[in-house]
Amino acid sequence: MSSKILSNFKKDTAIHTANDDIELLIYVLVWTCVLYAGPCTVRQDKQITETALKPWVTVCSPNDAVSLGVLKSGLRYQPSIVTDNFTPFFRCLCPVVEKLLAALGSTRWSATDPLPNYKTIRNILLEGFGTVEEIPNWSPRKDVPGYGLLKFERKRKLPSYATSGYDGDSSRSVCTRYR
Amino acid sequence: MTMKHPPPDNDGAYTHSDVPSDGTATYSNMGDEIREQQLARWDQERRNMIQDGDVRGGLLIDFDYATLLDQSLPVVPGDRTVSSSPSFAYVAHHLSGYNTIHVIQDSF
Repeated sequence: MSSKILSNFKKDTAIHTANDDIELLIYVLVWTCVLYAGPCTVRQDKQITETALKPWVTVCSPNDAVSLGVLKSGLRYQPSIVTDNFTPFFRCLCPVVEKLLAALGSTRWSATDPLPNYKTIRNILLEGFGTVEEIPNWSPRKDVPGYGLLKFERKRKLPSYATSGYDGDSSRSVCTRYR
Repeated sequence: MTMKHPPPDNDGAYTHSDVPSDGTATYSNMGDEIREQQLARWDQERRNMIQDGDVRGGLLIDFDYATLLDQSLPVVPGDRTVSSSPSFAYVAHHLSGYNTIHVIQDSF
C-alpha cells in the first residue's frame, strides 16, 4: 500500500488513486531487489523478517499500518534503509531506486494529477535502462549466501557411500536419495 | 545568460511549464533538449529490444483493476483505483488481443 493509504488507515478516508499505483510500482521494485538473489531466485540467506522489509509484512493493527506509512514516507529522504538491503545482483539499481523514492518527495510530485508523476517515474526508469551497468560476468558464485550455495557445499561432504552412483556435482541427487 | 526558473529537483527533470515564455533560460533549455533526446533514444532501444524478443515489455500495475473490476462503480475508498491515468484507461477500454498488448508494451 502507498504511504498515503497507510497513513490514513485509521481514518478510513483515503481514496486509492493512480498516484498510489505509481508509488506502489516503486515498492514492487524494492521488494524484488531486497528479496531476490537474482532472476527467478529468492534469496536463500535471509527471511523477509530478517530484512528491512519486516515492517511491510508484520502489520497486525491499524497502528502498525500507520507506522508503516510513516516508514515508507521516510524512505524518500533515507532510501538507504532499503537499498542497503539489496542483494548483490540488484545493487546496481540503488541509484535508480533512490531517484524513484526521492521523486515521491519532490516538490513537483502532484497530489492530484498522476500524469506528470507517471512521466517523472517513467523517465527515471528509462534513464536507468540507459545507464545502469550490470555486474560483468555475473554468476551465482558471486553471491554464495544469497543463492544458498554454502548449504550445497555442506551437503557434498556426505560420506562417499551416500553419494556413490550419483552425479557428484549434483547435490539435488543426494537429497533425493535420502528422502 | 538569465535563469529565471528554479534548479531541477534531484530527479533532474524540468517540465515545459518550468521554461519561461520569453525563452531566456538557454542553458537549461539545452540541457532539457539533450536529456529529452537521450530519453527518446533509450526508449527506442527498449522498444527494439522488446521487438527482437531480448526483453519482455508488460504492464505491472493496475492490470486487474482495468480488466476485472467494474470501472463504472462510484468512488470507493480502500483498495480500488479511481481516476486512472489515460494509459490505464486505455487498457480498460482496448484490452483485446495481441495488438493492444503490443501497444501497452510500447506505452511502457
